[in-house]
Amino acid sequence: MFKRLLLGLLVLLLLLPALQARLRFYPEGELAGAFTRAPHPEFSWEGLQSTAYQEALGRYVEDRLGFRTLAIRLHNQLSFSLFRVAGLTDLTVGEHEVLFQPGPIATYAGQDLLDEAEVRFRVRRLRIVQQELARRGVKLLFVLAPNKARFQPEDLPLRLRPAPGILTNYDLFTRAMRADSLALLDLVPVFARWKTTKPYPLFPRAGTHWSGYGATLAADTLLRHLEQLGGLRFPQVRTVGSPRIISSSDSLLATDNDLGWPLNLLWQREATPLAYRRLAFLPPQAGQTRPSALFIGDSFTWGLMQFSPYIQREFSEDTRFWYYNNEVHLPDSTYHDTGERVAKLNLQQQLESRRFVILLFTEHNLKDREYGFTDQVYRLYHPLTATDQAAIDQLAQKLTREASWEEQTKDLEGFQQRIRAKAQDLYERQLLQ
Amino acid sequence: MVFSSTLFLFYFLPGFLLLYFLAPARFKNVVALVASLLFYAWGGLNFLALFLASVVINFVLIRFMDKAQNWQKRIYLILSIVLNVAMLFYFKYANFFLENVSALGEAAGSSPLTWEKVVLPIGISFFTFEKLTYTIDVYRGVNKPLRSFWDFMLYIMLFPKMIAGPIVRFHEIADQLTDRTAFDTVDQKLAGLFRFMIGLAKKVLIANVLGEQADAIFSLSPAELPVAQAWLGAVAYTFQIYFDFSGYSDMAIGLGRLMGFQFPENFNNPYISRSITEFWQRWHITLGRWMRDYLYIPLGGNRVKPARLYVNLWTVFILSGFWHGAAWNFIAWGAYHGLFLVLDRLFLLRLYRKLGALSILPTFVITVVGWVLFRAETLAGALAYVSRMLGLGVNITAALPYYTREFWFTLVLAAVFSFMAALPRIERWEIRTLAASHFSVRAAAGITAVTALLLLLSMGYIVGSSFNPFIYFRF
Repeated sequence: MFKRLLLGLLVLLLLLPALQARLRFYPEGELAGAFTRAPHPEFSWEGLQSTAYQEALGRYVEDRLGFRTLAIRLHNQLSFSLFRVAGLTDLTVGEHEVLFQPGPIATYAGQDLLDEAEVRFRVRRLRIVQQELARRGVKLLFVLAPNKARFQPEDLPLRLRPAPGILTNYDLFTRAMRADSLALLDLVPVFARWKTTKPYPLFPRAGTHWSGYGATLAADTLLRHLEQLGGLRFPQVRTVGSPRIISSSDSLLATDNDLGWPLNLLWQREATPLAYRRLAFLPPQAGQTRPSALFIGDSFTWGLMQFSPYIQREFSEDTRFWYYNNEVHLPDSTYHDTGERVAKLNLQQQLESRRFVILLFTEHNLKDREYGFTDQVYRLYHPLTATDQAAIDQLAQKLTREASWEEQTKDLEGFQQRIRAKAQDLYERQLLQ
Repeated sequence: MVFSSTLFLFYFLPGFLLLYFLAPARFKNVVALVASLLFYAWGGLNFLALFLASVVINFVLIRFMDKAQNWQKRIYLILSIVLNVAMLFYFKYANFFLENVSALGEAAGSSPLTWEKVVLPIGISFFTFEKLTYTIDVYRGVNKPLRSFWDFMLYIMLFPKMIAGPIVRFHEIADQLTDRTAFDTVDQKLAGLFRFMIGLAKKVLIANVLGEQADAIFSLSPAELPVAQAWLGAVAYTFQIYFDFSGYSDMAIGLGRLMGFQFPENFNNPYISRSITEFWQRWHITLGRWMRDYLYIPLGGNRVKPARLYVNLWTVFILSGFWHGAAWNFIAWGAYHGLFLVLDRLFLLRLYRKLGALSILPTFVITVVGWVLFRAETLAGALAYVSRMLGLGVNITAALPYYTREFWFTLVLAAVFSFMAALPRIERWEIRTLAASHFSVRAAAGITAVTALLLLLSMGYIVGSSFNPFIYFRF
């Protein structure tokens, strides 16, 4: 009798997922991350004969299987705990369960290293942009945010720690920027120094960006730097008491758990306690001003507005954040896309109405040419002449003759656009040499 | 529908088990047959009608054969064999022969042939062999033919075994088709579920993990493959194919036990073999026996001169390779194994006897190289890969790229499970556990707990991973 009970329990165990799929008697919750669910297939004899219907139904059933989220969390938990694998993500699990994205690791290892001449060319154009804006009363500042892999290489898996002396884009860019007297706030050595002097984590274990504590320290440094650059004084930011300490992963703010929640683990990981400074933003006093600024940057820029309202309170109301030089965001404590796109704006008006233009990127985004911003501004103030156009046309024809027949015919219109863009790029490089 | 799919595990299987367990004894065959028809039809209706027609024709022919005498009996035998083999050749080998004829024609200067590709019905290799065993066993008088057409159809179409084996010869389950009460016990059912989950875990937790990396390595150009990585890919595939195929057989055997059928074992720790001769007594046992009883022995078996015996061995194993797939690399794999069987008889067995247990190592290496022939897409690709394993060509001594802990852990686990039976005590424990047909209450609780645990782990991996192919489904 007892054995029959055991057999019944096993058959019930096999039945439970289907019953759960139908009845949903146990609340499972949703998985974090982006995924799709297969639609219910429409029956047809053709589908039945070709097995398309059966395959689609299989996908539909699988996506709605009862306890599916628990099963996935179980799989992810085993992978994470036993094998240091972050489930179905591309994350790297380092020492002390510190999570890294692949981009910061690759750039720290020099895997995306640009040619030195290329870096010099880009910095030179940035310098020209800086000069053009300065002539119009606008101060340009390039802010380099720290790279988590460079900040704490001791937490990288041993196999991913680069050999000492590896040349990286960071080395090339900072060297060229200093040589060309580009206005640069390099926060990389600042964070390295703070690592041994500050009492709280500057990067979260399960986030790829600076922590709330690190971001607000960076913001203070940025304000001081801009005061010197622009000859002005910002409204005062006062620290009020000791920081608030948070240990629960669910309670971490903004980007401090942005790598942790997609893990979809069975048991929530205990976060390293993170500190959040208590700050008071005082209204502007006599001699203090809230300048207009344009931030063009990557996701590190969120740290200047989501943890504490630095951008909202220290800069004017018309200050904007151009996320990857594409989306126009209103500075806010949460994601606030205005729906506007940079490509649709009057670039000259946007720039010349500002006191500051601040480029903020972390190391692994250095290779991406400020997402087109520098080229756009350069061409705004250095429009092509008829002579330039003719020279570019000649280059385009030369490149066309050198291209393979397959490349030309695959996508004729797209090919012509690419050739034209490439020719213009080559021509502009020649002008700067 | 495959055994390790969500649809099978959590919809088809529990539904079928409930219906089967609740059905009266006289209706259990009906339930099993309907389930089998549904199972096969899920893979496409187009071949179901063709398959059923061949079952009907075989049943009728064999009934006539049983009643016929002398030369008429032999004519029915030949007719049945020709019909089944022709069907197998058309669907499985037509493309192969036409491609080679076309290639020869092109070499001779004529234009290439064009034809509509023939689609391979799933499981055709396995159920063709079973139809042949039925025909031949009845002809030989081993068993009387079944009276009921439906019992015959059930024998051929029983879903646990019909697509990828084990190849169940008719006389092995003839009596069980009509009376399974002796095996219809709760202990057998618990053992069946336990065996099924062991197979599922082998497939999902081990074979899939290793197979993903083996596929990645075999997809690289052999010319650029470091020697160490070439061997790693070959070894990973060696374990993948074992846990994939033996896992499937475990699931089939387990499902059979749940229904009261006792299917023959198909694997007995093949990688502890001390010779290729022993390997084929442990690997795909039911195919080996089929080849022996229906091909090798009719060719003369061991009762011929040595030279003829060697030719017979080669013939059998070339055909065995060809059975696996319509491509030259499968023929080469069969010939390769045939070669070592001949060498065993010439001198290797005497040498291995002196080495004792150490002969497991060279036998394993020979097997690994053989699996490369089996795995490669073409014969040329196979030879190029083996060349890299031997270090021929450009000397690339790069260190292994990074592989996850999961891969290495799984590889070690696979090796442990593959070789631990080399210790006699462990082999006896394994046989005792898997063959048990009666459990104490404590033992029953133990295997139930293990079964549940393996199910949960496997469910996590099935849902959490997208890599889930079966190797032997394409044969």
